[in-house]
Amino acid sequence: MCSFYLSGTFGTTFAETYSFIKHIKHMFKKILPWLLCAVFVLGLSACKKRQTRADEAAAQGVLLIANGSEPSRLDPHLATGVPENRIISSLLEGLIAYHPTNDSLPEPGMAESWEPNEDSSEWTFHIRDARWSNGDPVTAQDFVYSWRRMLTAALGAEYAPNLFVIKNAQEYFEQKITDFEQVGVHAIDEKTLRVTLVGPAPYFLNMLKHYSFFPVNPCSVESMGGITDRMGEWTRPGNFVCNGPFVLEQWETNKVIRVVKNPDYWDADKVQLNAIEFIPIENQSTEESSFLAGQLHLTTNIPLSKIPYYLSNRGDIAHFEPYLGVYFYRLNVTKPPLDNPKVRMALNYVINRKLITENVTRASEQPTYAYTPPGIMGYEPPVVLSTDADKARQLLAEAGYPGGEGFPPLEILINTDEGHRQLAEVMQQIWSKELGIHVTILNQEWKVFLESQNKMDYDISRSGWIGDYMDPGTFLDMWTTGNGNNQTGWSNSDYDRIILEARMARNQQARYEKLFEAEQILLKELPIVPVYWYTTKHLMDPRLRGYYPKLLDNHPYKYMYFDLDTQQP
Amino acid sequence: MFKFILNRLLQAIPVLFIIVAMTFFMVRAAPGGPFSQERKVSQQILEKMNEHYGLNDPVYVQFFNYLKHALQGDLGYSYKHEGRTVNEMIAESFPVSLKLGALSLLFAVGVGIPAGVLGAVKKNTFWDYSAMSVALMGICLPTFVVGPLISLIFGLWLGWFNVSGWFESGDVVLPSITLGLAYAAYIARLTRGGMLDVLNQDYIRTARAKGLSPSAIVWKHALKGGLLPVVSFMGPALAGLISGSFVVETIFQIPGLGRHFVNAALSRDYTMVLGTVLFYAVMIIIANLVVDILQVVLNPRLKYE
Repeated sequence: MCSFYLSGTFGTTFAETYSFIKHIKHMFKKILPWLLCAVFVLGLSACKKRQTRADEAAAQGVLLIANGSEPSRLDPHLATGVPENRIISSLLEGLIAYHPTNDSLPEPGMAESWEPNEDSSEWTFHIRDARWSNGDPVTAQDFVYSWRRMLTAALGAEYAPNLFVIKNAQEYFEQKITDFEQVGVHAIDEKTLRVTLVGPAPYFLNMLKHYSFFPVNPCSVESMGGITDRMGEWTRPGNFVCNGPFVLEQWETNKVIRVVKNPDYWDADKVQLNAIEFIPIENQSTEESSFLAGQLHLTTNIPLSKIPYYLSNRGDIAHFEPYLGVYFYRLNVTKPPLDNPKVRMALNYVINRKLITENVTRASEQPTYAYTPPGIMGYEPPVVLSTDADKARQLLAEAGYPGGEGFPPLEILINTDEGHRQLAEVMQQIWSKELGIHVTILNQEWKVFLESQNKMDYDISRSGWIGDYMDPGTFLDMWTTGNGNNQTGWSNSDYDRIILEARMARNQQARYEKLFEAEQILLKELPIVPVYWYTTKHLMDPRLRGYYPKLLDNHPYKYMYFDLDTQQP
Repeated sequence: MFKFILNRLLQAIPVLFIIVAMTFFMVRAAPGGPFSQERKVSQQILEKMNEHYGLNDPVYVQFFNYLKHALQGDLGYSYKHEGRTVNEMIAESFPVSLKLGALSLLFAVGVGIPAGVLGAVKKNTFWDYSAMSVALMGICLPTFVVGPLISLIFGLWLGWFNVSGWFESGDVVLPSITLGLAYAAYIARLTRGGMLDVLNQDYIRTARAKGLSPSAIVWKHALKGGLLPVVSFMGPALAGLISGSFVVETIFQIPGLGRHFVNAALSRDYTMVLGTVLFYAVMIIIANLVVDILQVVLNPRLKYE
């Protein structure tokens, strides 16, 4: 090394080299973080291309569905919610199944065929050769047992009144009779079920699609708690005996419910999915980002603020479809000034519903012109509501409040939700600007809100109603005097009479004519302010097939499959 | 020490009784009941449902029945998750919350203590200011901002982790960071404060005079004393981490106890509310006791009293 120092030439070269190395080192130090970053980003992009959960699942024929809140129970006789329904309809099948595309049509389920008598008050069902997942044959007696369970008061089934359409069912439920033989449901033989109704009910087939009419396996219920036990463990994985296209495999609270294909299902050849995972996600943004990150194939909703974006840009994955439901305000008619029909009409006629659906809700909802949503085969609701601010002002003046003078302040009661608030603010503005009425908004937590509405401790209350089955009666029965769901204090003897007559009508057409008449009365008296008819909002993987828009938003999984050749978004 | 622990455990009995009594009557005073819903249930059916859960009895009878069962370790059936016992639900979901809480704490300690030490050692320098600014941000940013933000960046854009769920081992990362961030920030600030106090003390000056290396002084001698405020913060922090994870559990869709805790209150699931409150109360009492013992171990000036 010393020799280098001694030599002048070498010395210069060394110094230069040294300084060059130092320079490089310095440079390297400088660019090192950037280099790391580059490696990092490259790594990232490599990572990003990894197969998502949705890809893997689709390849295996496993459907990943977001399912709102955690289901409370999977017992079809105790369940009441939409998330429960999504799962139960994969596990159990009633006499009549969901039609893949049209909710008004009956699709043979456990009943292979059926025939009504002349006035549709007695129905005979022929049960097909189907088996429960434990090997038992599905029999007419299973249905008798299941409906007896539903009607056993001690069980406390919330949907028991659905079955009151059956002769003596209500009497049995109210313990006025104790012999179930007197109730209008009989097993003629193992495969024939005869149902006698309280009167003609042409809509009975549509009702039968509801899970409250689903059968349960008598052996499994009896061996785990019995007919009146609400806590029976027969709905747990491993215990749940199914007759539907899938069987329950896994149920982890707040994590996942997994059902797998039922090889014993009568139509198993048609079922293409191997499994479905129902994932409970309450938070809408989480649901959306999970979908976008490839962890879901189907969501239950789209966040309010993102609706315009998806509607105009993402027709490939966003689906907005009409839903059998109505968004409306209840008016408390028991106290002034809302006891005056003219005031209620004024509040209705001043609203431009089209403006609201186009600018506030924005998810292709349909502005209401009646109460019952359109789309029920054979029933067209009367076209009554329109926008006429002058007429509204005149009505208000006739009611004694010209220009809103002397009108007591009103309060809109909403449950805490951004969408409800936005709409209430718009209503507040319309009523104040056009009618000169002072309106305030009060929001309450859900259960508190329900309590206030139930006690009629409100002026105007935000409400919604979703039809259980395809029949206008599911929307119009509730407005009869004293009905628990009326909650407006409104009572009209003509209305009550016509609804009763509709119940006794001998055929569908006569019945719908009566219901039409009833709806006209409702829309003349207006104890409500209908605003819009709902739409369902889903994000859906474009590879998923066999999913059709349905008014009741039930989509039989039996027909769904993945087309893996479809281009991903 | 045994006497100290026994004493503390005895003190816990009236505390727990008061907590249960207050929760019991408060949750029942809230408007609405477990079975109220939009579609009204007929009075007859409602009575049958109440009968199943003993809700038709006078409230004081219900209270004593509850106490009787709770003393035997039976927290009753959940009203919302029908057919499931509260014991079962807690047993199922608590390990998840515990795992999340422990990992968050690990993250908080792992990030917070070095940042705090750095701040204290390089007092009033760029390092100190940047560490403490980041800490302040960590304290100010609520989990419902941090959570969606990091899930957007690391889940959706970069695709490193799942944005929600509790299926794969990697699913713990984002929620733990979200939950632990605020605690990391607190710990950093507490460590810095504690270290600054200690670094000015005589025994540190002695250590310096002895010629010990700066790193030995900081890590071996100062840190032990400097961490005392952190240790006393650890009890409430652990309790907060395992009980306050509702937001994080909701954002990341984690099947933990925090979600049950809040949802039970919203759905008036009386037994579940009581069960979770009681369970958390016990956990917090135990955590505090452990911390008190730890403090005496770390600080010879303290004694068990």
